[in-house]
Amino acid sequence: MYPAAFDYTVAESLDHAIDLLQRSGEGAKLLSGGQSLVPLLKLRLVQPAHVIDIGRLPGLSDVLEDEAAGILRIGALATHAQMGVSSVVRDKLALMTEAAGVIGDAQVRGWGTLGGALAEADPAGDWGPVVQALEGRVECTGPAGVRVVDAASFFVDAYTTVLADDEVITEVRVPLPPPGSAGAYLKMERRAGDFAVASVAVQLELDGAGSCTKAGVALGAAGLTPIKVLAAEETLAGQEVTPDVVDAAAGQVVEAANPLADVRGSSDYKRAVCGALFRKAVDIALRRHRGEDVRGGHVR
Amino acid sequence: MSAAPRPPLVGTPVMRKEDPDILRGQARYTFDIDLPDMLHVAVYRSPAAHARIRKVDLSRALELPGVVAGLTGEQVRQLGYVNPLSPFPFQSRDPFKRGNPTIKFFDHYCLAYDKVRFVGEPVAAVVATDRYIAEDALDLVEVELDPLPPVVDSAAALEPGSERLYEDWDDNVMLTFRVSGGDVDAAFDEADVVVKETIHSGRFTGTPIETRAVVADYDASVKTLSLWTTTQIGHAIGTLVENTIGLPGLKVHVNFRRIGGGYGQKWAFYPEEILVPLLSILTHRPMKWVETRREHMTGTIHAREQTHHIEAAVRRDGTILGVRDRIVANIGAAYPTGGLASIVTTGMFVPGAYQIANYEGQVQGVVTNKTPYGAHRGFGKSEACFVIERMVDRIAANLDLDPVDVRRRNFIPPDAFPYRSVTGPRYDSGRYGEALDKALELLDRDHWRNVKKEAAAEGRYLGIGTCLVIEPSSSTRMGSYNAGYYSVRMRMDPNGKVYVFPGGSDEGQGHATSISQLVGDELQVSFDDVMVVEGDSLACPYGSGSYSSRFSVVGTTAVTMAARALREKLTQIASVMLRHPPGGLEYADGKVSVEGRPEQAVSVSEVARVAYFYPFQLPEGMDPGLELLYHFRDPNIEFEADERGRVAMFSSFPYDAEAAVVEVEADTGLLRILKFVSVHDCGNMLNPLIVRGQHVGALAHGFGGALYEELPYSEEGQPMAATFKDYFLPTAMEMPEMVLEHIETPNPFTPGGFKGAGETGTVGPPAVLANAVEDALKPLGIAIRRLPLTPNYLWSLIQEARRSRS
Amino acid sequence: MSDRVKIGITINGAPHEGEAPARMLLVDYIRDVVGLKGTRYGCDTSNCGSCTIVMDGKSAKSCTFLAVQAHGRELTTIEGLAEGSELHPLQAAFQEAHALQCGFCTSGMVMSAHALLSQNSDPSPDEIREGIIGNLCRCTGYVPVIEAVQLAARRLDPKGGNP
Repeated sequence: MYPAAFDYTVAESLDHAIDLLQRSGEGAKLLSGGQSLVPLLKLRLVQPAHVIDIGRLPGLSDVLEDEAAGILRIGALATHAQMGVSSVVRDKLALMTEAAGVIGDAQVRGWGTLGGALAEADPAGDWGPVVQALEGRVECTGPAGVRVVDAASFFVDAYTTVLADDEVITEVRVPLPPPGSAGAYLKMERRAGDFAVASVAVQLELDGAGSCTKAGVALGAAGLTPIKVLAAEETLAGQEVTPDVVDAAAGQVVEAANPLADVRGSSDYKRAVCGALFRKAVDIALRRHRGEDVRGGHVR
Repeated sequence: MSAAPRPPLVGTPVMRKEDPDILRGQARYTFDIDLPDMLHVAVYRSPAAHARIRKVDLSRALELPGVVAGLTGEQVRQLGYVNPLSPFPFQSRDPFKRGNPTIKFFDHYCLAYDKVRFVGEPVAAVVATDRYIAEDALDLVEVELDPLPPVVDSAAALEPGSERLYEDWDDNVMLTFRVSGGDVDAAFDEADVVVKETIHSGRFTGTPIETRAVVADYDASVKTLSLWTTTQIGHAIGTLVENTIGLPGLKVHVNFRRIGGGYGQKWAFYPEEILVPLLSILTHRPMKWVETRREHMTGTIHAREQTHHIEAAVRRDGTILGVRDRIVANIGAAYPTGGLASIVTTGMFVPGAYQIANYEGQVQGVVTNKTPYGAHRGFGKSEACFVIERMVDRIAANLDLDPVDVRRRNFIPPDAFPYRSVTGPRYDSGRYGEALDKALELLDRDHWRNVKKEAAAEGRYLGIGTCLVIEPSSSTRMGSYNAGYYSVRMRMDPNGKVYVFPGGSDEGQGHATSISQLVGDELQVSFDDVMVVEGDSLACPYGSGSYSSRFSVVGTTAVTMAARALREKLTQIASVMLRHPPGGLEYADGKVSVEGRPEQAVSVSEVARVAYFYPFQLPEGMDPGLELLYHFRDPNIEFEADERGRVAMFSSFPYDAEAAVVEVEADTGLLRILKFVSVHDCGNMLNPLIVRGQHVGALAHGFGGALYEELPYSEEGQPMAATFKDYFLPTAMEMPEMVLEHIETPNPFTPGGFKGAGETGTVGPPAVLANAVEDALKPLGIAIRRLPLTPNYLWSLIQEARRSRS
Repeated sequence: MSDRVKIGITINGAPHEGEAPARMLLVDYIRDVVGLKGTRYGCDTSNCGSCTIVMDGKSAKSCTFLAVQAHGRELTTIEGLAEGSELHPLQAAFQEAHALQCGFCTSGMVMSAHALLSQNSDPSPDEIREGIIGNLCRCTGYVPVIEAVQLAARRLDPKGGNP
C-alpha cells in the first residue's frame, strides 16, 4: 500500500518522454492511466527510480477509422471505457467492445489505457489475445523513430514485451475485417472484475455460404504470454465450420494452452476451459454472422 | 379518555440513525484517528511457515532518516514487565470443570522470539514519522531464519513422529473434547443401515472491509493508556492489555466506537494490541498501526477448516437412530482466539435440527503452521450444519428416499420445544417442518422437477437442494469474558431525553437504532430523544462485547429491563406528585396520568425534573436522579457440563430453511443458481429493515464460503490467497436473485421474543448448494464431500466420474 | 525531476494547493493532506473500491493514483455530495434502503453509484451490479445497494428509473 520512493517527471511531449527514458535506462517506468503500474508500485513489486508521466500527452487517445489503409488506429492512451463506447469499434470489431467491457471494473476501465495494458503484458491481460486474434500491430516509438510490431510477436514473456527501455507504445492498428466477419471474446473469471481463469478471442471471416475463409484464434491466461493458436486458425480456414472441424480446432486449442496452476484452477482444468470457451466463442461468432444478437464477454 | 397509545416503534422498519453520519463521510473509524506528534508502525512478519529465529537485526533500519524506534521479540522479553499474550475466552485450563475438554497452552509474546509458526506472524516492528518511511525501514530489517519442516495438513500433524510446533507438548493436539448422549452403540446395533462419510469444510474467513488498526497514546504522568482498537470486545481487550503489560499502575481506556465490520475476526486478542501500546510506552509518543490487507490475510484469524469422519445409524425409513462424528480441526498456530470454543461448538451442534437421541462427538484441535483459527460468523455451527445437512442427503441417497422426507421424519417437532438436545443445549422454539414446507412452496419444487427432467433429456445437469440450518446464538462460557450477562446503564436527564450506555459494541448492526426503538416504546419518548453511547470503556459498563448475535437476545433484554426499571421509578415519583397510588397510574405518550382521568397528569419531563431537582419530594428511601445500571443474566444457559460433556452454551435458536435450484455446466464446472429461497425465523423482528439487511448480508457471506472463498496453502505452508486478488470475496455480480420470507416464532426466554438475526444466513448456502449440486450430478454418481464448490472442483468430479464409467 | 511535487486540485468545489512526496497515493493525500477522512481503503490491490471518488466526472479508485496524477483535476469525495444538512438524494436512498451497515465501504460505494447515475440515469439492476463490481461490501450482500441506486434513479430522474 506504500510505494517506494522515486523521482517523478511529467513528459511535456512524446520526444521529451523518449529523451527521459533514454537518460534513465531501465530504472524508469512510464505512467499513463496508472491502473497497471500503481498497483505494482503499491505492493513494491516494481520499484522504479524514475516515473515518467505520459498520461496527458495530446493526440494519443483517438480511435479513428482509417478507411484508406483499411485499419482502425487506436491511440495508446485510449481508455478501456473509450473503446467500450466507440461506435466504430462496436460496428466492426465486436470482440474489442466485449473485451473493453470485461476488464477490471468501472473505475479501472475509465482510466486504464490500451497501451498501458499491452505494455504491462500481464499473462491474464484481455487485450493481448484480442489484438492477436485480429492480427493487430503495435506501433512503438523510440529515439530511432517508429517501428510496428505484429501483436503475435509483441509479447516475450510474462510482464515482458519487445518494447525497448527507450520506446513508447504510441498506437495499436487493427485491420478492419471484411463484411461477413464475426467474432467473440469470452472470459471466465472466478468473480466479477477478476483476472481471467482463461479467455479466448475468436474472429472468423465467413463467406456467403457460411464457410470460414480466415480465422483468428488466441488465448489469454493460458500461458506466460497470450497464445495465438495458429494450428486452430489453419484448421478453420477454408472450411465449412462443421462440428467435426470445431472439434479438431478445439483439440488444437487445448493442446496449445499451457496455463500455470493457481487459485483459479489447475493447469488441466484451465486447458479444458480454453477448449470450452473456444467452442462457445465459435458458436457465438457463427450466430452473429447469421444476424443473431448474442451476448459475449463474461461467461457466467 | 386516555391518550391514544403511540404507534409502537418495535417491529417496524425504522431507518437507522447511524446512517447520516456515515453517508456524509463524517463517521470516524480507528483508521481516521490522528493525534498530534503521532508516529506510524510497520510490522515485519515471518515469510516462513516454520523456522527457528537465528537473528533479528534492526540496525540498518534504524539508521534510515525518519525512523524513530524499533522493537524485536527478544527486546520485548528483556523489558521484564511484558507477559505472554493473556489467554482468551475458553482458554482457561478447565472451562467446564470436568477435565473435558483438555487444553494445552503456550506462551506467545506480541513478537516472536524463538520460533516462527506461520507466515504472517509478527517478528519485529519499526516506527517512523510516516508509514511510507516505516515501510522503507522494513525493507532494511535483517532476519535470519533456520527453516523447520512445515506442518500443514492436520492428518499429517496427527501422525506419530510429526514435527511438533511446540516442543514441550507431546503431540500437535491442542484441544480434545468429547460429548455424548444416549446409547450410541445400541443405536448402531439396531440400525438397518450405517452411512459413513468423510466431509471437509474449507478454510475461509470474515474479511471485514475495515482491516484491523490500533492507535495507542500512553500518558506516563498518570500511567494511563488511551487505546483505540478495531475490536468486538473492547472491555476485555483493556483487561487483557493490563494483564499483559505488567507495568504497576497501568490503566487502560479503550475506544471502540466505530468498527467497520467484525464477523468474529475482531473477536480475538491480537499481538498488535500489545505491540502498539508498548511502542507508545517506550517512545512517549502516540502510535498508529493500520493493517494492510496483505497483513490481514495472514495475520488475522482464519476459520472453518474441519474434517468430519461421521457415521449415522439409520432405519430403512430414514429415521436417524444415532450419529458418531470424529472432528479434526486444523487450527493453525495456537493464539488467543475463540477458535477452541468454536470447534467445541461444532461438536455440540452436529445433531442440528434433528431429534437424534444417541450421539457421540469427538473433537480434536490440531495445531499447524497456518494462520491461527478463530471465530467467524456462524461460529462452529456452520461446519456442524454443513456436515449434518450433507449427511441427511447422503442418507436419502443411500436409502433411495427423498431428502425432504428424511428431514421431515427427523425434525424436532414444534411441540417438543423447549427441547433439550442430546448434547445439552435447550432449543428455545421452532417450526422447522413449516419453514421447509414454505420454502418448497416458494421454490415451486414440482415445476423445477419438470424443468430438471427436460434438461436431463438434453444432457444438462440441473439439481434441487434443500436444507434446514440452525444458528444457536448468544453464547456463554464460564470463567471467560463471555459470562452470560449483559449490562446497560441508562439515564433519563431532567429534560426527559434518554442516554443509553450498553456494555456491548456495534460493528454495523445498528444497535443505536434498535435501542432507540426499544427505549422509545418502553419510556414513551421519541426515537430522536434517545442517544446511545457504545464502545467507550470508561463511559459504558463493563461488557463482554459483541458476538454470537448476543445483542438481539441478551442486549435487547437488558435495555428493555433497564427502561422498565426507569419507568417504574418515574411512575413512583409521579404517584407522589399526583397523590395517587402507582397501581392506578397510566404511563403513556410522554405523560403519567391517573387512569380514567387524563386531566390529572404530569409530563415525564416534569417527573424527571423532580427526580433531579427536588430529591426531598421523592418517596422514602428513593435515590435522586434517573440513572441506573441493569444487568441481565441469560436464563437459558448453563455454566457447567455434566460428566458426558453436555452443557447449554447457547440460548436462542434461529434457523433458516433454504431451497435452491442449480445448474452445473459439465465442460467448465460453472455453477449457476437458477432459484434460491430462504425462509428465516429469528423470532420476533425488532426492526424488519435491519433483520432483512442482516440476513441478506449473511447469505452473501454464505455464498462466498460455498462457492468462492478459500484459503489454500502450499505444501511449504505458504498462503496462496494472500490478497483480495486471490481471495474471491463475492461482488454484486455473484449474488443470485433471492426469494426471502420470514416467519416469527418468538423466543420464550426474552421479553421481546427476539433471537439472533445476523448469522443464520451464513450457515445455509454451503449446505443447500452442495445438496443441489449433488442432486444435479446424481446421474454421474457424484458425492460432494468438501467446500468450496469451485468450478475446478466440480469439473474434476465430473471428469473422474466419466473416466470411471468409460 | 523531483521526489516532491506540487499539487493543485479542486476538491468538492474548492481549490486546494499542496505539496507531497511523488510516491504519495491520492487517497493518502485526500485523507492526510487535504484532511478529508471520509475516503478510506480496505485493501492494497485496488479491489475493494472503498477509496472511490469522482475525478473529472469519472469514478476513480483514489488508491490507484499517485496524488500528483490528480493535479489540475476536479475531485468530488463523499463529503462533497450533501448540501448543508440535507443528504443528497442518493445518500438518502442508501439510508432508506438500508444499503449500509458498518459503513466502511459506504463512501466508495456511494461515489461509484454517483458516477454510474451521472452516466446512466436509468440503469437496470444488471447495469447497477456491473457498475459496482469494483466495490466490495461484506455487510449488505449488495441487494439493498442495488435497491438504493434504483430508488435514487427514480428520484433524480422521475421520467426514467426502473419500476
